[in-house]
Amino acid sequence: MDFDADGDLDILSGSYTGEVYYFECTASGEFLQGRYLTDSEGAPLQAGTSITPEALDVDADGDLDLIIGTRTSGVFVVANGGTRSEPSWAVEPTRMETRDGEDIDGSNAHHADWDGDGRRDLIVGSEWGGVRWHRNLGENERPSYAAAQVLVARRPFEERSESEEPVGPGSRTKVHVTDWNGDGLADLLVGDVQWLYETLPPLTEEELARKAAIEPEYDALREAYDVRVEERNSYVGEPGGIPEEVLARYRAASDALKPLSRKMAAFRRKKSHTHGWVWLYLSEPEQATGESAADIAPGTAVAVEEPVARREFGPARLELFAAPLSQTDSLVRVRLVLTLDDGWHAYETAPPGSGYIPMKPSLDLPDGVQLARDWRCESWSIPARSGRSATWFEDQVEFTCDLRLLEASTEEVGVQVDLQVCDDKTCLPPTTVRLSLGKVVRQADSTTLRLARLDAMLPRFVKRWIPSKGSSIMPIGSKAPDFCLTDDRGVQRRASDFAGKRYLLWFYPKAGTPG
Amino acid sequence: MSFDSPEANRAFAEKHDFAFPLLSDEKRGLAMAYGACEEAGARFPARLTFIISPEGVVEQAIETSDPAGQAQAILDSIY
Repeated sequence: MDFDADGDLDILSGSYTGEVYYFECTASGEFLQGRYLTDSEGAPLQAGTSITPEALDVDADGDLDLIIGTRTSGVFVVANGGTRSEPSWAVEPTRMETRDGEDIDGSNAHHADWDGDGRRDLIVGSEWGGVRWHRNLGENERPSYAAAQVLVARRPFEERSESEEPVGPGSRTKVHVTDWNGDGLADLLVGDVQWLYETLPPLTEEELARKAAIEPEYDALREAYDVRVEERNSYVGEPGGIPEEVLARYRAASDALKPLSRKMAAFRRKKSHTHGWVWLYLSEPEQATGESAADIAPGTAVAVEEPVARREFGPARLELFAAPLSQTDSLVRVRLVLTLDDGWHAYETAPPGSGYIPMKPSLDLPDGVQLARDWRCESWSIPARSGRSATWFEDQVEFTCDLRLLEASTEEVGVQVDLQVCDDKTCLPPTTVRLSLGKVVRQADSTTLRLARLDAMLPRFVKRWIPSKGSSIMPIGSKAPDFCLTDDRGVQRRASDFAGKRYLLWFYPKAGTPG
Repeated sequence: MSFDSPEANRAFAEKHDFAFPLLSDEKRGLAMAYGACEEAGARFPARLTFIISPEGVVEQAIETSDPAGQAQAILDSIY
């Protein structure tokens, strides 16, 4: 970016230790030796560790301020009290907050107009992965940020092998918004770090013998080292701290262990490799508005969203999601998802007199809200193992319905679920869970109605993510993975059934669609 | 190959009299392996088609943009 306003592009870089480095581009197009930026008292700027800086005039006073994302301590603004050519950076960085006063977190913070409303929003990465978006509810000159919404979900850690391709961004995500394909929509670039593991071939006889030869000495040194660690730790927090002779004993034990520790590491059969990938998420144009819910084909509108309400009880979790299907119509798709731990089930049907309570959602609609489509179960049930001509759900069950918002409401839109959760031995008492979608409010700047809990959720937010080519789709030349899946006749099919033949795998969104 | 149950696929196959099996990947394991979805909670797989050689190696990976026209294009590429 042009930091010194001389018409060329300079480089501003964060660092692991937390200083902000500035590499000035000279008239000849070369970069000067980097120097770190100092605050108004001459000390290096510091807001945390593993930082990323962005220079932007956040307070509209004509100079550049700094927005700094830190590894785990949050997002900060360093205000410039000077001018663009002679900056004077505040000594104390200011933590960025949402409109409601919540601290904003992010391993990297980037300003861009994500939803195309002409205002700069804040998009943040995270030490733990995923990408979130704080919509700007104010003006560019006076930004006011909404609570975070998930753009890319954080993925749970899973150990993957080096021979597999990564399936999505890992941790320490860094984000940048750009119109990658020039279609006028904001796309997302996400950088990450992740580790893939490799299992090395088994040790040879000779290697096993060498390992066995040093193992007793290693174990003895390891034991001695553990004793010294214990001894050192016992002084932590004590007045006077750790005595010098205790530290010396610890260091001696550590030094003695190191050479053998290194030798033993060579025999370890698991090796990790650090990777940094760049992921591209392309935005697709929003669905044409005015369609009814039923007209939207499966697979075209997958909202990346967080639950509006959630309730956990024992082995089960109920989550309520809602997303507008179209803006003009004020039509909202409500999804109720029950997730059950392994071995637990909820009844779909139960014979009368059995005492089991089937899962049944209902609505408590205030005036001004109409049911556009009644509840429908989107999941398959299975015959109950108890054999009593009952059916139940395992794993996950989803019910959906559509609501039409007609007027602002004084009461909240309520969802009730009758439910009983059982495993093979016991049943939890039947329960009625009440969740709320919040009130219906009229947006201040327009005639549009929305659910208050869906602050800032726009139809543009309903996007289909396309994984970047070549990064997560199985590359040509890879070994085809094995499978064992049931076909439409109930026959188990394996990849090995097709060995020696060329076969084709066609992923289609849903049975009954044109593919 | 979809996330539908074998029952739903059966109805689909009977309606159109398909001459090939429809596999049910309800756990999303194969779709994730092939990059057709990101996570086990994905609602639908991406429209992707793979051709696997007699040696068990991925020969072609196609992002389907025209489901109707794709079948002929694939046949042309094989024969």
